[in-house]
Amino acid sequence: MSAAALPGCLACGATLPPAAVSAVALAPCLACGVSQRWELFPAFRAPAEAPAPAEAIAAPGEEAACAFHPGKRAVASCGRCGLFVCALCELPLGEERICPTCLESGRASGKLKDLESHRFLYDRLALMLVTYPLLFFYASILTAPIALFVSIRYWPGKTRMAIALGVALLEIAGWAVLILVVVASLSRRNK
Amino acid sequence: MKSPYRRLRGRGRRGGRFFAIAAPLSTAWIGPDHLLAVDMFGASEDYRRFYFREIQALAVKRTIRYEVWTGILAPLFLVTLWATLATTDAARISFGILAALFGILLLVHLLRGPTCRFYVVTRVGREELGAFARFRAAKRALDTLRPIVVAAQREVALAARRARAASPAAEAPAPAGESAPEAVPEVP
Repeated sequence: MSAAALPGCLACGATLPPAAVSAVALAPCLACGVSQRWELFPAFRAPAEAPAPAEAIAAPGEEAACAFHPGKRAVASCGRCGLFVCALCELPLGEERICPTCLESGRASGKLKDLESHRFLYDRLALMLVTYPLLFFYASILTAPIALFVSIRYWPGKTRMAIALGVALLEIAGWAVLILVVVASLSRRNK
Repeated sequence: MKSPYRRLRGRGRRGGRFFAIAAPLSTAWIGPDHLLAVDMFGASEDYRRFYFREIQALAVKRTIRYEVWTGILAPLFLVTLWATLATTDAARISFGILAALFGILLLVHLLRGPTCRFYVVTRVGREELGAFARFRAAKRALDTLRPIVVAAQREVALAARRARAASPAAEAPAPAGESAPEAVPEVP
């Protein structure tokens, strides 16, 4: 059995015994004893795909040429803009094939969801600002206006945003009433 | 618009530290052609995509967090329970609340079962999915993902089978999808 066909231990990196990759039960690594289980798929033993070279056009004028490399043969068209692209410029994105220009513009505009790796959720921030400070009541005098600002600034949002907006307004109203009551009682006392 | 993603049952924190309260909370979702791992920290989310046709292996490693947390929570529960029974009045109420709290935490911890770390292995490297930090969740994830990944790599499996037929030298046990389906293994 070829050792190159077996994965390395998740803890120490030593080659695992075949029992650990049988996908039946946990088996310990012979080097460090850590129990683990592997489930291998066909891609594990598939050879690495070498990038296809962009072929030069054999018959200029009779074959479609790449829009970015006029001397190279086009092998596909961009799924977004329709431009012909060669093997170098054909960029796989999920099931789609796009050109470098569409990739860059999609990344800059944020329209390519497959490239999105980070997102800041303003509706969740607004909800946290109105709920967490309730553990320490007095903090809400600061966080409620901030939550109100976030909710309005980044509207529209999901249900969370609407709830945060409603709770922020209630908290601000509560503080306003409290302040009015305190001021009124102080005024009466001074009279 | 309906989301194309379906959530896999399981939620946890990755990072490997016992007191990883500050670690991101992880969930995993099945998309049309990829597995999406979401790490949430406060109001921000980070995404990692693993395309099914590129997943080489799924691996699970046993950890001792289960035993360690049992060793922490059980004595705490027993001590506060003893203190509840040994005291009276206000002290009994206080200790009783603490005992109930530790008891609930211990019960939930025991019911959730042994802990593990779940990895997705691709040609680029190995990534941990914190969503499956318990064996039960890891097993469910394996059972759910196995047929999806096998189906996505059907062409790769056929090519490998043809290559093996042409060259009869035996290698490692055939990966899932290249031979008859194996019985679903039981994870302790």
